[in-house]
Amino acid sequence: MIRVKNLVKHFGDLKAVDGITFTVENGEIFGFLGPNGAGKTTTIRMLSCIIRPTSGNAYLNGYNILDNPMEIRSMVGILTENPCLYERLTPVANLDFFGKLYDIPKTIRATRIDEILEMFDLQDRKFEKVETFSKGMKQKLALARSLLHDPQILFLDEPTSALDPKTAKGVRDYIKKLSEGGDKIIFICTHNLTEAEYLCDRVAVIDHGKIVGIGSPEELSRDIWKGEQVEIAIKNYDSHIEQSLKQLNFIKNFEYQDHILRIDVNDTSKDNPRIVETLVKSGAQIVSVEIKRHSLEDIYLNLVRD
Amino acid sequence: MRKAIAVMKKDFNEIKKNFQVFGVMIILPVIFGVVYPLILYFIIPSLVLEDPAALNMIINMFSGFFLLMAISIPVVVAADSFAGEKERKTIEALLAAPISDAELFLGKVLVSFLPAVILTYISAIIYCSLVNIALGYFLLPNSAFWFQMALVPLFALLGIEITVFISVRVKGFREAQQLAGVIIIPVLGIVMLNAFNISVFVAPWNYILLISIGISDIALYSLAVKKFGRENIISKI
Ligand SMILES: Nc1ncnc2c1ncn2[C@@H]1O[C@H](COP(=O)(O)OP(=O)(O)OP(=O)(O)O)[C@@H](O)[C@H]1O
Ligand SMILES: [Mg+2]
Repeated sequence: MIRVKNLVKHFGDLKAVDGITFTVENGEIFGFLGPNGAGKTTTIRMLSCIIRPTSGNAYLNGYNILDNPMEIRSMVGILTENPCLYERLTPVANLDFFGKLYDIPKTIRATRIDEILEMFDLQDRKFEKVETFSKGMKQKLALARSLLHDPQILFLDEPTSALDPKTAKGVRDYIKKLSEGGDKIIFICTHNLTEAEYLCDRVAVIDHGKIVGIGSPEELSRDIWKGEQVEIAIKNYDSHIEQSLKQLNFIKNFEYQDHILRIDVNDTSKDNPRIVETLVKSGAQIVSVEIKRHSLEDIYLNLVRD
Repeated sequence: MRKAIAVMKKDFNEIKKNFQVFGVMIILPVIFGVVYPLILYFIIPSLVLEDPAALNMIINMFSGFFLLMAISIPVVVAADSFAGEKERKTIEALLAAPISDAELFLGKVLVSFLPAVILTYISAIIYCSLVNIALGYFLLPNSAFWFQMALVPLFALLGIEITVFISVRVKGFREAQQLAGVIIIPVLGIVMLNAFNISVFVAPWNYILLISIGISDIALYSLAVKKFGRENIISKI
């Protein structure tokens, strides 16, 4: 479990992270979203004990970042924003070096490196210098390095930003599989909202160093729009139908435009049947009924305002 | 200690692939350890007869060059190891790994220190042997030469420490190398004075030099560890 308490980081006068508090449970994939310069990377750097916070603290599985940095570093894997690879060395040399730093015993190190290179499809290039690699290959290798010691907590700073669509999908599926059934925490910074929607159990949106929203996409949507929306396509909308809708006092608001009736309600599962019943009784010819889900993009754009 | 050695080996493997650095590690020993002694080997026999004073001067001067070597190689290697790691933006993953600032620092000091000192000593042994053979009697190492050999590791460490302070401030390893390279000038001064028989390698100056450099080495070490600490470096990435 990660518990972050009032974490603050100043760079001179700049408040890069300005008092954030949140919790991530074991087994969760947690998305960390926000505009450029919001403080995502700075937060990850503090949580993985690369830099110390100006104030506040964070607890990772009981260890705190101020007093137990070594324990935390051993437990955590991180894909940094830059791939941080030694370009003059081979992938094997890169991984072997980090294997030593993360105390992977010599007896299993070579096998583990082979395994992980295989997983990321880098086996056939394993004795070439990293400087000859493409950007995406470097990102895959950096990802491989972050997973080498099978960390309990994984921080991924934009894991698919340089990958082609197919490889990105492969990595997403891999992340999902990694999380399934286990109690690993996977903490992902990303600008790709479709990716976050697909992967994350919960997300936090950070802006100017402050958290402006946190929860599952559904929770956030409900918080922002104070309820849900149902879209009903009707062929023959008229004033009679409009009058009958006005009788239903649980409807908060509705509008009709381009053959679509949009109705705001509190709880679609309870209210939809009664709406449909009323419409049919007043002679409406219903083509379709659809619960409108706000995409994570809608949510994000609503939370992050200038 | 195990992790410090891992850092040292990693850095050494990187340096081997960088001709700008590895070249210096090869060329200096070849010049000071082989080319100079060979020159002496061929001119000594004639000088012994003609001009013993000039011979003395040349031997003294060439002997002093080992101190130059002891400080130049570590500066070049340390600039690549400390400033280079920062410049190539590889430091962050390293700082995220479970290695203490002190171990990381030690690893990088070792890779700059060990090859330099070992190469200097090997060159010095070749140099002394060739000079003695050419003279036909045993001259080197004399007491002044022994003092210089004692200074070799101290100068190497001093060079590394100064390079670390500069590396934290500058952007790239080239800049670090150039700025740190300035410390060669006072060493060159000592070498030149020695050639003209104004030697700091005789008592009591030799002891004063030895002790003061030794003390600076120790004092600067813990300061340098702090300077190259996580907080300081990452704020400059
Ligand atoms: N070492 C540093 N020194 C000074 N300012 C810094 C440093 N690191 C980050 N900042 C500043 O802190 C703020 C937050 O940066 P951070 O890298 O955390 O943003 P981010 O959310 O990761 O952005 P992006 O999406 O662009 O990666 C920015 O204004 C940045 O300029
Ligand atoms: Mg970032």
